[in-house]
Amino acid sequence: MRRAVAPQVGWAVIAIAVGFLVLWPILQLQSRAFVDGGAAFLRMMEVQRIGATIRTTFILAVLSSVLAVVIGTLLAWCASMLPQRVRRMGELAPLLPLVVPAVAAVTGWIFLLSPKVGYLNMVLRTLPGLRGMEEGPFNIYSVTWIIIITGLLLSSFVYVFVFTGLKNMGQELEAAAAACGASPLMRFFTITLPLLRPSIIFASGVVFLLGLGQFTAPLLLGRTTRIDVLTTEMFYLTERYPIDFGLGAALGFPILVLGLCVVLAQKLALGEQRRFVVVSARSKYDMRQTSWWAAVVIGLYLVITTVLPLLALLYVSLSPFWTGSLEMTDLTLRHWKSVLNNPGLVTAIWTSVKVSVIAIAILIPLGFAMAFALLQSTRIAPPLRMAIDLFATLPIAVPASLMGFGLLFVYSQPPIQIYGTTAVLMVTYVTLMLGHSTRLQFTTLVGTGQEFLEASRACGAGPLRSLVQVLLPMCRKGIAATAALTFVLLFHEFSASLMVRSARTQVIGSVMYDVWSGGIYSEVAVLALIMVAVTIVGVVLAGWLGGTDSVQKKD
Amino acid sequence: MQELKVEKLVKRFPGRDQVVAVNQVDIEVEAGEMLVLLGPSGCGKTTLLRCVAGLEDAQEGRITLEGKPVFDAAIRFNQPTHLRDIGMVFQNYSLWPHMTVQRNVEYPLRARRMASAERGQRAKQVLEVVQCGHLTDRLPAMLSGGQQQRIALARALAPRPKIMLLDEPLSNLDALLRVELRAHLRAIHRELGFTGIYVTHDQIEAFNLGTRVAVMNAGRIEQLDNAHNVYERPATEYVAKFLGIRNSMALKPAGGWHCGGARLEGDLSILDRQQGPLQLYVRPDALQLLPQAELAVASGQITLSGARVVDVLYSGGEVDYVADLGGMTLYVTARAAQAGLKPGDAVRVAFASQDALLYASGRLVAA
Repeated sequence: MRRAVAPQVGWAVIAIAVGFLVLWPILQLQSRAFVDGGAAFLRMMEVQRIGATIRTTFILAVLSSVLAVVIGTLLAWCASMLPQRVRRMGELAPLLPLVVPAVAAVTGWIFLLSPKVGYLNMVLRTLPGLRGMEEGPFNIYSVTWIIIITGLLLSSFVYVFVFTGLKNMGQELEAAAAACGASPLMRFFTITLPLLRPSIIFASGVVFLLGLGQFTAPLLLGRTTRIDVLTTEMFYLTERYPIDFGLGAALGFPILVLGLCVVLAQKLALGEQRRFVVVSARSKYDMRQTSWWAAVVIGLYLVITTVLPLLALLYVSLSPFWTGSLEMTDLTLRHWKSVLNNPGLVTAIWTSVKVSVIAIAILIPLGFAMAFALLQSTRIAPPLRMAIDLFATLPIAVPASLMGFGLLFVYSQPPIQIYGTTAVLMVTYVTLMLGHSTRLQFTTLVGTGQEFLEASRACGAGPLRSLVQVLLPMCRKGIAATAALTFVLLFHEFSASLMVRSARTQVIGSVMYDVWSGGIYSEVAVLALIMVAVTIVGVVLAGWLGGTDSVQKKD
Repeated sequence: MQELKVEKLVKRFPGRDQVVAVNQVDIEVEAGEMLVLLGPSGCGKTTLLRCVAGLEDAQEGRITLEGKPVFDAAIRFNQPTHLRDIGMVFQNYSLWPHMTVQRNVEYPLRARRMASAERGQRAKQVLEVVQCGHLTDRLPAMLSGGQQQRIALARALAPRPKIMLLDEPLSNLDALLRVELRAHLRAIHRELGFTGIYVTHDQIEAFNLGTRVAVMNAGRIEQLDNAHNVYERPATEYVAKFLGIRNSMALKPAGGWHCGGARLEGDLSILDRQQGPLQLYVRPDALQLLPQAELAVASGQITLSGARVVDVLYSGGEVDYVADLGGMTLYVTARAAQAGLKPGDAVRVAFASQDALLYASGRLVAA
């Protein structure tokens, strides 16, 4: 088939630009691991307790993703059984933990489960049988709790995928099983679960990657008790001077390889799609038994993951000191004032907002173009399309902390020496989110269907008119949702930000870590709450721009 | 013995404009009988079927299967679907895409804890019945629509349930296949003699397959009778219209009977005991157009003069005439073109009085 040359040039430019953004830091950094015959790997073997660190990394990745998949699937199942009256709210509830940044949630949990002065521990110690204990019963500074908290943090992601899968599956196939005499349990294990396999496999891959690159919980919970993972080791390297980039590359190498394997495995596992093609099995009927227990489970999840940590943060932010005692008398706004009067902190907050917004302004059109390219099976040269597909996948496969480390390396030396400026943050954010922006908009485009665009072209509209008048309005909601999610992820960004920040360029996540390291927990709480508040504003704004459901229905 | 008994069943769908999908419905299905629920989409026929299956919760009434209650609103009893011992065929087949044909068909047997060997035997048997014995190892996605439908039927039949519930099973198939499967389904019903409820909007399917036919309208049963009676004597105007009796004429008594400005002539004995306005329905193939000049009228016929031919449509063996009678449009199907009739011609309309269906306030009064 002959293709017009001009558009191919345009796609090639995009592919090269994006390829540079993504590949440059990864390849440059990894090449450092292999210079001098792989001397960096020898240095890695000499790092203290490296065996334990590698083991912890993988145990954390595996167990936390298993936990996340179990919880996320359970939540999705519960959401599908919600009574009509609480359905709309209940379906959204498991997404709420995403509004709370990981740093904030972990900090909140520290306030709750710190062995001596954690509020929850204090309350539990008043129970019979536990009375008289000096500390505990729980110790958040342990591998077990790092796994539990990471698992909880990741469960919302699993919920998103599995719940969508469950909705798309419809209930007719389960109704058919019921009509065949299958009990609810038999239906769940023989019909629902097998048919959800693609969603669950996909979600497992995603959370395993996130678990593998998990940085926040191990850093905040493991540093004091010397529980390390590969990403935290890499971070400690950046705190020394000169930075041993070769060693960092060697530390990141296993994660990189495993990440790529997971992505490949996902593609292979989902290859045989035919078994899961659920043809026209959607139904307006709603046969699944509803249960208030489902609402209870979701409510409990929300309380544990969101409400309790937020309350702890709020209480600490208003208390003179974090002492573990719950007294309502001495509440003070001192810490709030102190944070808001600290120019360094306020600047960091503004930098976060500014850089996130600019990055989104670049990411949305870029991701849209890439998603569009992925959809074109004939009009774009296959090598170009495959390249774009790869560049949209890599930023998802490579953990943010590792990517951040690579970015720090390439942008702190010639030819592009932008370390220390806000530009490096911007480039970092764009690189990190390229994959998400593309994938999310790809889903929207697939859902929209090509026929509308073809119909527009057939009516005589040119490509530009078709894009502006047909495709964009139809994708408005999806684009707004992408923007909202990207904003949340960027504003919460912690791992890569911590790698590429400098004394002059700080974002909210990085200053929060400094405040945390300084032991000023009340101000950490304030910053965490500000993060939550700004996130909510961002999400609401995006929802408003994209039009709410009610508006759509009236149309 | 009644296999199924539905009494005073009411199902409302919640929402701002509360829809009463099933409204005070009573039906009884005898053993070995196939009851067809016939009606346009939205008339409540599928909802009624799903209430019997236990896939919907009704608000009022009772459902009894083989003498045992499966649903009773009065005591808030609603037996879950999987305990009702039913077989159901869905409109979209609902075969499980991750299981082979064999496993799909064995599924209800597994659910009933049948031993493995017997299960295989039964599945094989029932797959033979639907002529799909050669497809056992295929996945549903590798089957054609007609094959999928046969497998869905086999799956429902396999456990020999108390009652078969068929929800528009043929409506997703193309016309030729539909005819073939309809005949096959009828043969299987004859052979196995199962009790069933069959939902469709297709009257030919209903008359072909139904031991009895229930025509539904807005959640109510308009008429429940054998196929012949439903066809020949539609109980209400609604049923008449639904069955495609297109010619509907308003009759007014004013010193004789008038219609569209013309006076009815001929054998008016069926109108003898009637008074007040009536609605007259005649099938297109029972109407005849006569040249205005032709005076000879066969006995037992009713005629109306002053009509005009509007259009003549040839459709193969038949000819459809569209005629106008005082602003009323009439449709006439003739087996062969009547000599010389062309648009604009003045004609008389004639029909046998035995073909006339008379309705007062929507209900059949004479036929």
